[in-house]
Parts: sequence; C-alpha cells; structure tokens
Amino acid sequence: MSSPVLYPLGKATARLLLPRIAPVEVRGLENLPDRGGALLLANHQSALDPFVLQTWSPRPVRAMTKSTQFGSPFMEWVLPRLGAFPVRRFQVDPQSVRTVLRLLEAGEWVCIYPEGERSWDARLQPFRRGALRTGLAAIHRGIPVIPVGLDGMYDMLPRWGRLRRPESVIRLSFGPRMDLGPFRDRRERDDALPEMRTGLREALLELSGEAAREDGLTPGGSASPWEEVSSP
Amino acid sequence: MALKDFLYRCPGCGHDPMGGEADEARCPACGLVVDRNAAGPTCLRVHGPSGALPSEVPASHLADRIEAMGGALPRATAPDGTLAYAAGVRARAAGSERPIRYRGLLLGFAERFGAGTPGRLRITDEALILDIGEGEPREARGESTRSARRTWPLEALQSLQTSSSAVQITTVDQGLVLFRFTDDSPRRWDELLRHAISRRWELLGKGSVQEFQPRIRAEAPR
Repeated sequence: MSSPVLYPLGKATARLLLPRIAPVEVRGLENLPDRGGALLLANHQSALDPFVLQTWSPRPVRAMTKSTQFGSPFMEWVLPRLGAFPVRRFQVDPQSVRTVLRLLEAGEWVCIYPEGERSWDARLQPFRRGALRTGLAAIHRGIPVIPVGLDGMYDMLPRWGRLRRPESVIRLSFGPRMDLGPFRDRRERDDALPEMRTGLREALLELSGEAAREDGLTPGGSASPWEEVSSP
Repeated sequence: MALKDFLYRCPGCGHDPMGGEADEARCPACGLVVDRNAAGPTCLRVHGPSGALPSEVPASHLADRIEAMGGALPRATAPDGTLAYAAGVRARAAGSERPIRYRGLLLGFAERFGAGTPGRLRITDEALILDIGEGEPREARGESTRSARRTWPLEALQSLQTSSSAVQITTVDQGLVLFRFTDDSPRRWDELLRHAISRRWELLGKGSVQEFQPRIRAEAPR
C-alpha cells in the first residue's frame, strides 16, 4: 500500500505537468484485469518512466526500485509512500521477490523494469534472469503478467541528457497478458525461462515502437544507415 | 551526465575522447558535432565535416558504430597489447544495510554509502586498482595527504553494473563500492570492465561470462 495522500498528490502533479512537455497517449487499457493483482513488466528508457506508468495506470502501481535510491533519510521516507520498494541489484535479493509476490497476492499491481537499468541508446537491453523468474512465479500463482511499452521517453529525458520537449507523443501501451503456464512444478517453471524471455522481448519491442523503427522507419528508409565500419 | 558520456568516442572518425557539453558532443579531431535537435524518434542530429554520415541517425546506430571501431579498447590498450587505463573518480563504499519498512511491512533492504573519497581508478588485465588521494589537491582542501591503494583482482569481483552516472562493483572485502567518474564516461568503464573480466575469467579457465548482475556468472568450459 502507498500513501493515501502522497501517491494521489504525486499522480495529480504529474498529470498536470507531464502533458505540458509532451502529450501522453495510453493504449491497451482493456488488457488490464478488473480486479486482483497484476505484474507489469516495462521497458526502461528514462528516469521519468515510473511517473508516466504510475500516473496513467488506472490503479496504483508499486514499483521495484534500485536500493541505492533509498540512500538518504528523505528518500527512505518518501519512496515507499510513492509506491516504491527496494531491490539490491548487485546481489541475489530474495527479499525483493518475496515483497513482489506478497503484494501481488494481496491484489496490488507491481511494476518491474526487467532490463534492470535505463537504456543508453533507447534499445531494449537483455533482461535480468531474476525479473523473468519473478514473472514466472507470478504466472505460476495465476497472476496476470502484462508487458508494458513506453515510447517517446528517450526523446524527452535520455539517461545522459536533460529534460526537453520531444517532437513526438509519449505512448504508454499495455499488452495482452503473457500466455504461459500453468506449470506443474518448479522444474517445468524453470524450463519456461527461454520462452518467457523471447515472448517478453517480442512484446516489448512491439509495444515500445522499437520493432517498427527497426523495420525500416529510420531516416533514409533503411534499417541501418551505416555501410561498413573499420577502426581508424 | 552529458551526450559525450554516451558517445565517448567519435562515431565519425573514431577519435577518443569526444568533447562537448550537455546535449552536444563535439569531436576535437574532425569537428563532427552530434546533438539532440533531430526530428526522428530516438534519433540524434549529426553535422560537421563528415559528409558521409546521415544528418539524422538513431542513437543506437551511433553506438553500433563506436562498437564496430573497437569501442573503448583502442584507447585503453598499451602498445604492448596489455590493458592500461586510468581516470579520476570519487569512490564510495556502502555501509551496513538497513531494513526499509512502511506501515510495519518489511519492503526490503537498502544500503547507505559512506563519504566519497577522491582517487584514481586504474584497470589492467589482472586487476582494478584504486589509488586513494592520487592526483587530487589534498593539502589545499585540508584533507589528509596520506594515500592508500586498494587492489581488486578481476576474478574476485562479484558483480558489475552501471547505476545512473556511476559504476558499481561488489567485492569480497568491501562489499558494494561505487565509482563516480570526474572526467570520464561510466559507459566506457562499464564496457572496459566487462571486457577485462570476461577475458580474465576465460584465461583462468572459469568459463565464458554470461551475466554481470546480480552476480558475475560464467558458463562452465566444456
């Protein structure tokens, strides 16, 4: 549970301010469950991703957040009230998985960024195994796992840059729940890891607009404007 | 951070390092300029003397071009072929972990970092070396002039990742250590460390490294 005061206040502020920078378009709301928990797995291009996702989701979303963000007493106080909970990314962190599953079973929505960090160049990065395993554990419990694509965030605030008004709209797209399982046992669940990885990758490439861009919508109409590169 | 932290090397002529500030990266060798004033999604604008390059190009393609030139390796490699590279850092080690709770519920654990220590970080084929205090005007800042060295053999590192503008490692003796670079790109260091660790592990017969977080994991050699 997040703060009944701070969370709505943060959401209202973001809903007021973000559209002044870029229009936000939301798609796929029909893919979200009416009741019960859901695990949202989203691509990560910008520090503003959580603001967009949490603000335009129809229900409060708890977000797995790197533990180093909780580094000051103020952040330690405010982040849990905004729905964040910590994960230690530099070690196997069973407590963060326990927190995810407990929240999901309590009927809450939880978001994980399975790439583990923001992309430098807007491309989808490899997924962390722990995130995929958590997704499989949720599926095993009958909890919907929903891929979520964010598009346009890189142009607004890339990892290396400053905030600016992008040329395009911000798109938040909820995909259909991942169709995996049920699993009879843990072994069967572990065996589904490659399928989970591939399925999620395809879904996020589509939902984030990256697949369309790579299909020849780059400037000059080719997938890659570079011919051949050699070291000088 | 700045665009030159992402494009640490010129995607046109390969010169290393790139100059520039904020959202503009500038090559001091060929004069190529890359900035964010492009119209296409995830694209950057390229202008300058390198007429062969498109004027707008996806950021990912510039990254690919740098990688195809050898990435961070050419500048970090000595004439004898060994890895030898250094940069100024502020290093911080994590203290003890504390539980994060909300309304009585344990949400997880987080660490608090100690004060930053200025130093110079070096990478070789065998180790990551931090010379604490080296190269900093310590007397002028009223700090101790005592210097120290920490050496972490590459095979003893337990994890590696970037976190915002920093590079983090986990070590056996000190736990989580964070390096914020004062004059260099964290992306470059992430690539260098990945390369060096992978090569070291293979050399020692520990297998081919598959992932670097949450811990460095290798596929056993056949």
